[in-house]
Amino acid sequence: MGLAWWRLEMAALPELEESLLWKLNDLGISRVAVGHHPETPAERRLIAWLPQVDWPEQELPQLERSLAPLAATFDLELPPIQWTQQCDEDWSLAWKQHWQPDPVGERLLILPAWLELPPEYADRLVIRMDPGSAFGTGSHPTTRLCLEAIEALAVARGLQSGGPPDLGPMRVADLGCGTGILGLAALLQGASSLAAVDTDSLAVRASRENLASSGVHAAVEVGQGSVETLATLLKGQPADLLLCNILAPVIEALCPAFHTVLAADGVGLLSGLLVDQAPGLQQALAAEGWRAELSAQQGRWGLLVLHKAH
Amino acid sequence: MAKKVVAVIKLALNAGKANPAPPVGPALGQHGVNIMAFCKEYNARTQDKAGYVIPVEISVFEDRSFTFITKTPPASVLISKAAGIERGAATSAKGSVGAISTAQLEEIAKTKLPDLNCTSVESAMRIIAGTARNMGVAIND
Repeated sequence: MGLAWWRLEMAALPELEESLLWKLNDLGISRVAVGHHPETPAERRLIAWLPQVDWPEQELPQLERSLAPLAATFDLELPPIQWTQQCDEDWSLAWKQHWQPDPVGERLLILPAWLELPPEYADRLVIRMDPGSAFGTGSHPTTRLCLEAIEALAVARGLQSGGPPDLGPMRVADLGCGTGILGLAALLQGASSLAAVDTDSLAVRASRENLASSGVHAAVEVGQGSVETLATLLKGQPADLLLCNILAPVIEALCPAFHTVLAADGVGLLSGLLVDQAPGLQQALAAEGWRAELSAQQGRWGLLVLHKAH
Repeated sequence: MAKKVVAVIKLALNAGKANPAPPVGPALGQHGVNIMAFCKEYNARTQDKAGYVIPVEISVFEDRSFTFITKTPPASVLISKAAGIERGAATSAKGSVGAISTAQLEEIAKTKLPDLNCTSVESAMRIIAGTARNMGVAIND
């Protein structure tokens, strides 16, 4: 596999960006990206890829000279250009190198769907995920908080019954399921059924695919919609465990309907909220007859455990 | 769930024809974005605009998920359209291939303002005017 690309990188000065895009395209260079760090939007970088077969090295100085007059129009100097060589590769697979097996808590392992199970994690419950574009890949603190809370609940129930960690026979509802990672974690730990919804059709598709390929044999239903759809999937029988990892304002807006998806003696795990949003959300939940305790936090993110107030 | 954006990337792609080759592959792959998922979604969203370049701005989140929005056409496309020409001048010969009016310049600047690296219409007009001059398109008062 030989070196196949020249990679041009330079500052995309505000005045120059559109002129550079035009000129490069005019020269037949259409493989161009302009990017910036989210905290410095004014400091954009332009990157272009030139096939080496079309651009012999001796032609690169001429290319630079043809760009220089663009800057002169604005009384500017052309920013320095950095040239590097880049190997051709199977770009469709390039992103996968960033994904590694990811242990969560004491018992779970998030494993990218294309990787083999590493021997050192052979005793863990494996959540196989193909992330697509959907939210919930397990690396965000709120997802991890939920996964660890599900595990802790299984351990606590196991201790109560004198057996191993087990959620059985809990019926689980996942509101805002993303990739389906939380519901899958519950099923792997013995939950008897899962009803999951998301308003995003891509998330619904990702959840269905991840759950179908998980090898878990439990009653699973995934639908597109919000809390009303979830109640419908539950067929009028509120779940024993409610998982809800979405934004605090959304949780607050949906909580008046929580009684339709969570049984009076059930448990809710709510995340996606900042710790400083917890008091306001607890107040809103209390007004609906729920008691919510801030039970864990990672960085600025928190997790509320929900019970019916008595 | 509110997540932190770790990178913002703008690409000019042919509608319905995104593929993993550069710029998509290396630009998104370095951030761990599922390249094929992006290509499928971009192509699905732009398939009815075949034949056009539809720039796209992709926000990559800390867990490597992403969202994207399509953007305004490149300034050079808007300038060429306003001047009634197919493309700009091949050399730096100024004002040699066409002209646009100040009113057209202002209209293009207002259209492009959300995507330009500036905050006022006046700054946007300076950028568009300079781009037009570089293309060999004159500005007529």
